[in-house]
Amino acid sequence: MNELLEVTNLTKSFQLHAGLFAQADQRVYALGGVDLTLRTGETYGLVGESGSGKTTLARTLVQLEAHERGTIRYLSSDGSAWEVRRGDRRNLERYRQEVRYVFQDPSSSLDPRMTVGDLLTIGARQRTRGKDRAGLVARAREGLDHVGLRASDWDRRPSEFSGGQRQRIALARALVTRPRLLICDEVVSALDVSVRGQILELLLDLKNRFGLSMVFIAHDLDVVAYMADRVGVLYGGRMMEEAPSRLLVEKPLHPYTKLLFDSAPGAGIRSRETSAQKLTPTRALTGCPFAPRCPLVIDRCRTEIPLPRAVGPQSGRLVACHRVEAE
Amino acid sequence: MNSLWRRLFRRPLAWGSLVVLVILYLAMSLCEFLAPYDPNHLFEGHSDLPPNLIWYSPQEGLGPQVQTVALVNGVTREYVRVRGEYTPVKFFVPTDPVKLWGVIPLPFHLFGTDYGRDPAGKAQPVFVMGTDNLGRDVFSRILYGSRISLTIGFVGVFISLGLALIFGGLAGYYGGIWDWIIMRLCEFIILIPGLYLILFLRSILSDHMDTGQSYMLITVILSFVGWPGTARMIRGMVHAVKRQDFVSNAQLESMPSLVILFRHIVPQMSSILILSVTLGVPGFILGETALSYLGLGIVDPAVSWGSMINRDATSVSNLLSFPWLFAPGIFLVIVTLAFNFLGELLRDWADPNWKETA
Ligand SMILES: Nc1ncnc2c1ncn2[C@@H]1O[C@H](COP(=O)(O)OP(=O)(O)O)[C@@H](O)[C@H]1O
Ligand SMILES: [Mg+2]
Repeated sequence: MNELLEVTNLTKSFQLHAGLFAQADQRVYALGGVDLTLRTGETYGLVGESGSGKTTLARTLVQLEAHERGTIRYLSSDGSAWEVRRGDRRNLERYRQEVRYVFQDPSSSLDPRMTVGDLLTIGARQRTRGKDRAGLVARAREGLDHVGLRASDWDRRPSEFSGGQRQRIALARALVTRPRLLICDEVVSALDVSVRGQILELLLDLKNRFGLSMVFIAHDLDVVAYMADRVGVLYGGRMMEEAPSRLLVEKPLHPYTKLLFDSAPGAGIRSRETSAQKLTPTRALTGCPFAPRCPLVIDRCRTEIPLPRAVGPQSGRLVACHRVEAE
Repeated sequence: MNSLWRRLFRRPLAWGSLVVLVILYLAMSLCEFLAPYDPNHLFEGHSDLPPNLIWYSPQEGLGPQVQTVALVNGVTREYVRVRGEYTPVKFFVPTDPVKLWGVIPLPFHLFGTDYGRDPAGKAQPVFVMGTDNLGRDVFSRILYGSRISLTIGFVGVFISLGLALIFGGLAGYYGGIWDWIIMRLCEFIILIPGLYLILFLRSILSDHMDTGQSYMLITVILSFVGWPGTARMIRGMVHAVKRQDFVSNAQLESMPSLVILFRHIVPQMSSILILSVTLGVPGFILGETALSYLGLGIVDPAVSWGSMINRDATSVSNLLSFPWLFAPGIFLVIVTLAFNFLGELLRDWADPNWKETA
């Protein structure tokens, strides 16, 4: 194994809240078997409308949610590979230092009652039982510098910062454990349009400086294409298409990707759609999840799940569609 | 912590409150030394005496002293001053032997007069805050009474709030079987009727200890059964907070659950916890006066502010004729205000959105 992360057939469903009048065991199938490979040093982009399972995929990658089926294999920094599981606590702890999840909204992922200094160091302080405090503080301060915050921000609290600065704090926090992979879940969606660009540049800068790999999630295809080397398009918990970002932008093949491009940037497609909930299958899939909206739908799409197939020679493009011919 | 101190100094009210409370608690701990007399000593012929400490007389000059008084009307308890008879107030006066905290023998009190020790028999006792209708020194009684009044609230609040935090926190955070067990325990304890528990405890305790001790014990026992309501509230809040992203974030950083619970979740409830403490402490002091109505409070020879208020300061005629008997009430008000001002500071300090106004 020489890929950083190898995800196969990742499956996750949620039980809908069992209220008094709720039907027993109603589920949403947020992930219906996703395959994904992440190479070392690569930025992998994930796009999809909201409700397509992007966050669920990211949270499963760091095991905030335990997956039901499938495997996540990780090639750790010492060259050993292991399977990421909830039960494997020792490895999981290390994995979570090397793979950091950056939340969408920094105002909820940073404890509002802590100072920046505490936020950056509390996790590591617990882990090291207070040893090497000075080294830790030095590293955290360095991190502040890397994300473009000032040393005097150390004693301030998140509420004293703007949204963009808060996201910088969140990034500094992620850097403290010297990660190899950042999973950035819509890290600019909660921010002002005016500061999005700066945060994206910062991400690119950090990636170069520390040689990070990255999973970059957004619902805006343009942003993802700008950031990522390869892009996966998610719909209804299934991967529709995966291709190097330049190829994808030049020539989208899957009908859903085309639709995404037509309606870019982002907002249009969602307003036409009723709600995110509708998009997530509530029954185990029997066909293509996109079939109900697909302009090219045929009977086969409803009865047979299209598997990702390589399309085009050596292009590295995978398309899961019955209607796209293998070239 | 630094910023807390900085804020403290910027707020005169909070700062003053802290000073007042420190003084009161110091006085409480040293009351045997500071109080000139035993709280239950009856000064014959001195009942219902107004405060008699003065600072100047032509005869003695400047300095603390006491002017001798004579009773002119035994019905209205009216006194007149006797011209030319003064007793100087001295420091470090040897008087009746007392033991600090019941252990260390003290050779003297902080201040007093030669009353009872001067051969001419003219010296008068000093009553900084007057005496009650039995001729007991109100000032000494307030000092001794603070032993109960200033601790009972803390003991009560901290036991019940501590238990509520632990049980509510665990139930809310871990959920599942823990939640079930703790909630059933709460329901069971809530079913115990408080008043009857007090009556019952009082009846079995009163034979062995004075009312002060048994009241303390009752408070402790009551707070051991008084936590379930708060625990349920805290459980609900923990439920809400634990779904927040910063808790997930902490979990991703492999923080131990207890650290997450007490560093990330409990602080989110700090305003309500601080409020519980600052309201609870005076609440417990006043609660005692309420119980006194039922004859379950503190009665002589034990002394507390609540019992003094209840005994001397609950009738208007008493207050009009002998206003100094309201002194324990003033102390109670001061303590209540001080706790509230300090609590306000702590609350603002804990508030994430509160910015220092320069
Ligand atoms: N904890 C959960 N409980 C129930 N349903 C959930 C939960 N998390 C996600 N879902 C559902 O899974 C689907 C995918 O959600 P998500 O992964 O957040 O999508 P995205 O991030 O692409 O917008 C949605 O329909 C959402 O309602
Ligand atoms: Mg999302």
